[in-house]
Amino acid sequence: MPEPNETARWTWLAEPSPMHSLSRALFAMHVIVNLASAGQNSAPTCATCHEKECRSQPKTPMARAMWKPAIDPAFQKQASFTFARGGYTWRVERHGSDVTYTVGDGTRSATLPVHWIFGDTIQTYVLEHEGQFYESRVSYFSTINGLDITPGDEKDRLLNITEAIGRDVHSRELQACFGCHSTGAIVNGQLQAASSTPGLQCVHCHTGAEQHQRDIVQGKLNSVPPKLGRLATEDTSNFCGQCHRTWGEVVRRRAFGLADVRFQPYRLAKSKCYDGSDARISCIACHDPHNDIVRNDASYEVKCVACHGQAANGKMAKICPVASSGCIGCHMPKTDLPPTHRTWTDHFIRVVKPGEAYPE
Amino acid sequence: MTLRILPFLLFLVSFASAEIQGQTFDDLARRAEAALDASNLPQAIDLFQQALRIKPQWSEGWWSLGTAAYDTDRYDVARDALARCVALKPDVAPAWGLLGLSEFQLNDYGNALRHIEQSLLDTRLDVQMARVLRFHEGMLLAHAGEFDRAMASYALFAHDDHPPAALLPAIGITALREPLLPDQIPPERRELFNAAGETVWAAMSQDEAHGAGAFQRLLSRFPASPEVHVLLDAYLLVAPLRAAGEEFRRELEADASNSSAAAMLACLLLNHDDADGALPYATKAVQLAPKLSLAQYALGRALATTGNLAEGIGHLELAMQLDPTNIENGIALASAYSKAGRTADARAERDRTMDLARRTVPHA
Repeated sequence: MPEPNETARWTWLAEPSPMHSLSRALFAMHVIVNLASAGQNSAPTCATCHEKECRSQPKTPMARAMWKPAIDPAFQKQASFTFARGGYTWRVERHGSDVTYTVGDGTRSATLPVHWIFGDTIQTYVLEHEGQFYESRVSYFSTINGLDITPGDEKDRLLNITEAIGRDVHSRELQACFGCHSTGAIVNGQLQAASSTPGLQCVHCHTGAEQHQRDIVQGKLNSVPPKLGRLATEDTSNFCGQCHRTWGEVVRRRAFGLADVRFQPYRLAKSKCYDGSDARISCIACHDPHNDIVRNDASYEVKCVACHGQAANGKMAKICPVASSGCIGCHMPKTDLPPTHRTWTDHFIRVVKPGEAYPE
Repeated sequence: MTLRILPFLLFLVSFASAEIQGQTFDDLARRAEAALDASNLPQAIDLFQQALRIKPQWSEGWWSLGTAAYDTDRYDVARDALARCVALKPDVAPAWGLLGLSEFQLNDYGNALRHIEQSLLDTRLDVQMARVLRFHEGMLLAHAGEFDRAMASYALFAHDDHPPAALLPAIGITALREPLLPDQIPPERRELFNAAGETVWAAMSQDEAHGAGAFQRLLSRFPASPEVHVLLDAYLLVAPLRAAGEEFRRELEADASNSSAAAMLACLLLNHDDADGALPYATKAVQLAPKLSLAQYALGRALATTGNLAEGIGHLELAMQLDPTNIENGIALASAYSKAGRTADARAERDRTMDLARRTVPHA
């Protein structure tokens, strides 16, 4: 019997039953009372009804996936960062609420304004010059509180100062960048970078939430966005993988190598225990997208023993012969990805053999 | 004996050189330039070579010798002369370019690309020369497997009214992701490469709707070509929903039995998360052309997404049988198996598809 929580309530509302009409009417009344008590007769927000999720979601890495220069936390602590390599120097600095990005080769220099800062712990600057967009050649890494070459660009040979500024980003790639790091950037298939909102907000994932907001005031429940929590595990992987990269996307691009450790849905799909029809191995079985990432590995062990500790749905996985705790450290090893100055949890769940090469 | 006369011989040689340098360099240079102006290239080459033996620091002479040798197809002479020229004057961009073109003719593709790219860094290059260099850069990049960069090189030609004839097979190579030079295309596949090049050039140079039409016609012309299917998959992943969708609908209105337009429209809608909208077109495509793998693929995906997983898997398996080398078939089938809880089948399909991916080149 599920707990009478938010998920259960929505499930109950959306399923046809003899109580369906009555429940809809009661819920509509509940919403209207909520709106009235909040003093928001005409403009409800998501938080009006989904207060808990809206309170915690802004703390998630997804909500912090892009920053405007004026409020970027990195520049709150330090006004400028510099870096030098291969005869070039880079300086990123804050001037009041603006940030500039300067590259010099000893004789010449170029300075561009930074309009968008992509990422939270690793921040890459997207620059615009005469209508062309560039991904900055250097990025900020919070783990070293400094700049280094942008991951992926380590081997690039910089022939001139233009190349030292950044890598040309073509329109399709740019759409993908803004599409995953901001909200409302793509309108009718066109990039509207200037009007996008940094980070992921509710409507980024919950398609139709805006219509739902307008309708709910009038007690209409017909436009409730699809319940993402009800997706099959495989569909959840594909949904989250739109940004975190699906197995198919990595294979399509042949993006194999150590750097693919960042692509969790791809790695998870390689696991022997991955079953696209079993909710116990879904992304959201372990991660609540409305809450900040839980960094305590031990807290995830209960998810492992959901399969490896008991028979459920007639399926019983092997019990670990070595230990009854520490699952994550052994079977989802932390993998150092040097260009990112941090380690990543490998979501390819497996028996890791000592000294084995990274399985791409 | 020999050692004793060597200083004497060296003295004679240096004396003779000084004589020639003092008396004939200007004359040789003047006559060489005149021969060049008169288009008497063999004589010009000979005279430049004589003059340069006297004054090897004459960078303009190396340049002229290089151009004359290039124009007479003496690419080894041209290469050596232009290498001397850029060593003396590294900022002469046309010399780097012609050096690269000479190396291209001598099958030294690595150096050719490097030197052509060096030349193209100079934005003051003559427009016609820049076009020639971009074209060769594109061919060399494609030959090296750098297909996306090759396509960017060809973008320069997108606004031409009529593409140069040599451009179409070159673009075709890039579109079909095969690391070849145009003259390496097997004769029996030349038509396919030309058609692929023509399609992609149309997509690059015309509006999005015309581009969509060109791709649809390519599929109609080569319905059983695995290479064309891979190209279409890549196109459909990025095709604009509105413009391409309208074009496919127009094609269907004009000819209701156009199976390729129906299949492509279904795939386009699927790639924009509209499986419900895709289903009728995919169904129609399969009715019209059950042997068209793109149609089976579209119907399989549409059914699997809209809840009819078992039937969807059946169509995806058919698509796979029709075109086992298509990555997209493998990706969709593995995902459908996984969703159906057929974990062993999913894993086997993933392994097979991954192996295929490692052996082939991606479309970006």
